[in-house]
Amino acid sequence: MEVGSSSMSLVDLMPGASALPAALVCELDRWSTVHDVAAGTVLLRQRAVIEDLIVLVCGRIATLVDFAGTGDLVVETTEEPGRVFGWSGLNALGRATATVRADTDSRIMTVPLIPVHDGPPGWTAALCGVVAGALADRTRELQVRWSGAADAPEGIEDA
Amino acid sequence: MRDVAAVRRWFTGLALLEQLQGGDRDLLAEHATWVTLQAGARLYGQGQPGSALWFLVEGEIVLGGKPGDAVDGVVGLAITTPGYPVGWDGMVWPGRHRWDAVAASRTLLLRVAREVIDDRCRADEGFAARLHQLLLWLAATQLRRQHTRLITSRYDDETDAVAALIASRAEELRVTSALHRIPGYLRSRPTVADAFRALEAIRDGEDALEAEIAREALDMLAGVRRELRVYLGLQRAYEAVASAPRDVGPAEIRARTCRALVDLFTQTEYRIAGLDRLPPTSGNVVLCNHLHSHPTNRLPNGFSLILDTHFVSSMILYRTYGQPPVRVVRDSHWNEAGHARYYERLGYVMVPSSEGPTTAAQRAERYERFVAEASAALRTGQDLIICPEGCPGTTASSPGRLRIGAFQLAARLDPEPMIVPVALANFDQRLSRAVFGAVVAEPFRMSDVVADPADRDQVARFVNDDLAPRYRAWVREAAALR
Repeated sequence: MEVGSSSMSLVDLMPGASALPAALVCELDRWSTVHDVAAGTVLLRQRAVIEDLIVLVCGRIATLVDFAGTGDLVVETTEEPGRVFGWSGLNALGRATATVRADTDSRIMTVPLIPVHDGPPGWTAALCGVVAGALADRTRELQVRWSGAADAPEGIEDA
Repeated sequence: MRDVAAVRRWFTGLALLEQLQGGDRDLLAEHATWVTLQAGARLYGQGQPGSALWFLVEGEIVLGGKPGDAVDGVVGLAITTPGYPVGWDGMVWPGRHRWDAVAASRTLLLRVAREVIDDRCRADEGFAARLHQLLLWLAATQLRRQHTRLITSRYDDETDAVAALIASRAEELRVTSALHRIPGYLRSRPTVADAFRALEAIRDGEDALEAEIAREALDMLAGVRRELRVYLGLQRAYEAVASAPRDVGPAEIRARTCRALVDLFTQTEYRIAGLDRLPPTSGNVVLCNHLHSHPTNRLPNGFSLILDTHFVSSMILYRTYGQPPVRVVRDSHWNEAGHARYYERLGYVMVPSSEGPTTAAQRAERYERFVAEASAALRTGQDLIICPEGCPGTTASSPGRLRIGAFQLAARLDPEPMIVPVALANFDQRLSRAVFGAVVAEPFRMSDVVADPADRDQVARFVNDDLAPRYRAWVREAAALR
């Protein structure tokens, strides 16, 4: 269910967004919308073309990977507000490398990438830098989680 | 590659940087300076501000953990791909490194200072966009690799995991991609080395997608690479025997084999308990429970170099006494050319196989020959290794029924030798996953444990009712060694 245009700024939600050019933030805030989504809603489908970034406002989001006949496997879940999904939309290939699904009833912000693609290249650079940082943090968190639970991995289960 | 032109050509050839334009690469080449790290040296630390991008030229950088820690792609990550931009995580928001970066071996890099990159980004937004799309791609690839590792760690077999990895990306690959051949190479032990060569060539090749998949595959195959090294060691040990010059005698060949096997087993995970229980001098009957060899250790000629008895020969007896033991081995079957080629050179004490003598007289003659040869070996101070089960089994069911021949032999020899039971575990498992375990139990003489060692029934009661249960417990103990 769409809540409507966001009264919430990306700067309040997404770590690192305050480092983005003010004009870019304004443009993204203007285009973004906030949605309530039901548990089980697929937000991004692996291999599908990506046109929007998805930012978690509240709830829980699962990342799933379809790995050659094994079916969709959950590789990550998060309840952390500000988590960004759909980075592939910022790169040339533009197709999702994983499926992203609401694990519980959740609220998300959809951030269309059109203003970024149509804007000055510096906007692409700035947003890529912030999203890359977020991805590096996610990788690091997964490693930390696994180093503490190498014998009993959690968060990976048949979807 | 010390001059700018050579460095420029090197940057131009990097498939990893295909998102950058020629001028972008020239900028990097013109401002790159050489950095050499010795093994163990730190390139940067977690939490430090990103001051540069380093492009790996040769060597290995480990992210997370310390050199020598397990680098399994889940917790730690090894970077060996020439041209990989090390330190990208310090170039993106918030400009600090997430990992320690340490050289695992002597490593050569080209460093481009952050100020150079930032200046160009300010002057050329197109460059900034291309560079940051590359950094985003690196970040996403690392996260994706993490996801892949979480999934493939579920596979029992790395080969299956790599096959699944390649299949999962098949629709993105050219139909002629060499990656499609990798699972086939990996499924046959003699061509595993070809798989590694092919993957390394693809990793260093011009197709960025194929290179990315090859890097992931090589990451997954770290255990297989270790197995490959051991397998090549097995081949060398076999050839050291089977192809030894005719003028080299059995004792020297046994010693050479033991040395080759010590080299081989030092590349495996193993634990030995009870070495202090070994008698002070050699010349003992050493008992081993016998375990299947894992099928992946079978040599191209079909011969399986059984690891368990070789472990006792080399790692326990040869290293303790400096003298290679003699083993009791069955005759080769008619169709076992590899077995015959190997054992005929070692001067072992041979016993009849199931195809052996058929008449009672022939059997009696062979038994007397066996006793004479075994006695001669012991009298000259050589250890005699016997597997009393006769045939191999699994760790879980070991030992099987113990035959009493070895005990009767020990009982009738003069002077009576010590019997040293050695319990072995996990030699039937894949090398990359097994921790080989060995427990040397308390030695004994038959005359100490039965009133009349010449009485077959007393010997059988001792072996079945007393020794066998204790042997099973020792095998459990060996299996639990960590």
